Amino acid sequence: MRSERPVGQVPMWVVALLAGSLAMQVLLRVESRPAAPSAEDLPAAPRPALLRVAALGEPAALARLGMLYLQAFDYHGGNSLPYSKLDYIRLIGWLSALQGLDEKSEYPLFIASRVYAEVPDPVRQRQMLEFIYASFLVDPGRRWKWAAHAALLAKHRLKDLPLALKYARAIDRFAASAPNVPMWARQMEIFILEDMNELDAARILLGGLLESGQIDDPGERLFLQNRLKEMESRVKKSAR
Amino acid sequence: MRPVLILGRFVILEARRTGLPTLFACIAVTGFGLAGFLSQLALTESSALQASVLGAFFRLSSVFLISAFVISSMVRESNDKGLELLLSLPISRAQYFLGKLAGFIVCGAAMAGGLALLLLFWSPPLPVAAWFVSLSMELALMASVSLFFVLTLTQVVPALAASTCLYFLARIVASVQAISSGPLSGEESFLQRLPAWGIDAVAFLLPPLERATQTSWLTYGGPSPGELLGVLGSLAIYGALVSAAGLFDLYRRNL
Repeated sequence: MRSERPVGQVPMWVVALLAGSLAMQVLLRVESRPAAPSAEDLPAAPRPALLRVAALGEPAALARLGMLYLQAFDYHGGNSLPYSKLDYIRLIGWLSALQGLDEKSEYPLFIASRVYAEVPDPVRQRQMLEFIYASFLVDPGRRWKWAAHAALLAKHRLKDLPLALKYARAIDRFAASAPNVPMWARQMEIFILEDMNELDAARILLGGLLESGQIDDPGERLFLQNRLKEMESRVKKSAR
Repeated sequence: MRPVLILGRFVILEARRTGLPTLFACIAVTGFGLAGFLSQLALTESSALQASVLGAFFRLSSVFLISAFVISSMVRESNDKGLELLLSLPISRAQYFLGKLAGFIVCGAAMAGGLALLLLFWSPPLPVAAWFVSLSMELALMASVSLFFVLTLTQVVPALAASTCLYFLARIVASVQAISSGPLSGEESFLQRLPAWGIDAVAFLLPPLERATQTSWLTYGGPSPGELLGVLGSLAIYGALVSAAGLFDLYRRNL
């Protein structure tokens, strides 16, 4: 440890200068604290190649930092409806670019489906759901759960059953071979068809699923068999 | 006043004899090469592209050069027991500190002037003048920051690392502050707000470098006089703060 002379050895003018300039510095910085960026401040997304250069060999880190940067736009204390004024075309450009920077990261799809797709604006919700769907098609085996969430949002928030069916059908078609896709996700199509009163189609799909022998669990099998019987009786009733 | 001027003159002499002009020439030649390369690639706005890339390159290079010069010069003098020798003469510690700082500031201003002259090839004189004044002030500030750290930490690597960290933190802290207020978890508790307050507290002790020497001045026109004065004033206040801290440390040092 370096030995030091007592503070009394420091001339008064140096102490006064230190205290005065410190006070002025803090006051200035308090006055000029930057506000959270508004929706209008969101710039156009950079090209993925440019982002890769800017990442300096650390794309995963930049992808996550980029998400923190992105989520600050149009979110601040007094904002009662965060993210509802954002330009979703630009926003999707950013999400795609950041997703491209780190394909394995789930952050962009998480924030797209849980945050940006939940703004109370059907047009923006649809734009975000289409982004999720397009991302799912790139890597269905890994991103099926976001497509499933998109199907639920389309069904319950937008009340758009054909759109929900499109997403559910895509899960069954593209992610069926993936090892980690649970049966409930693949069965979504059947139940959406049922909700749409497309009972014949739902019945055929459910019957095919049961016959394929893919359902091992006896409880689940029994539940689906009962559901199939219920559908068949509804079909018969409607035929009369 | 006279000892301050003499010490300042010796710093300038040292800069001349330790190869600082050669390094400056290297930066200038690299900048010219970079500009020529970029002009071959650009389809449009080639002058704006060259000015903006060179502005950023010159700014970073000159800051690094001045910090490295201040730190290496002071460490060399300390190793040669030059400080003890000088303070045995009728020179106060404040005169020693201010003399050294004045010399470094002149070196920084000369460097900024040379780089600004080069930028006149790609940008109009007024924005370049504003860029020059701001860069001179920024280099003066970084000279005082480096002087403070080298007097406190006394070794090259810790002092250079501390100066570099402070510089980059000061450049990005406003962006970090802006994004720190956006957690998505609804109600913000005391613990959730704590990191944001911490970032604010750090920002209070950093210079507003994000507003200084902006490359956009070279491409879209310089700042208004009020804006420029505001930037220069806040850099001057921080310069005074860090110089006072350096002086405080120097006066307490037991030689």
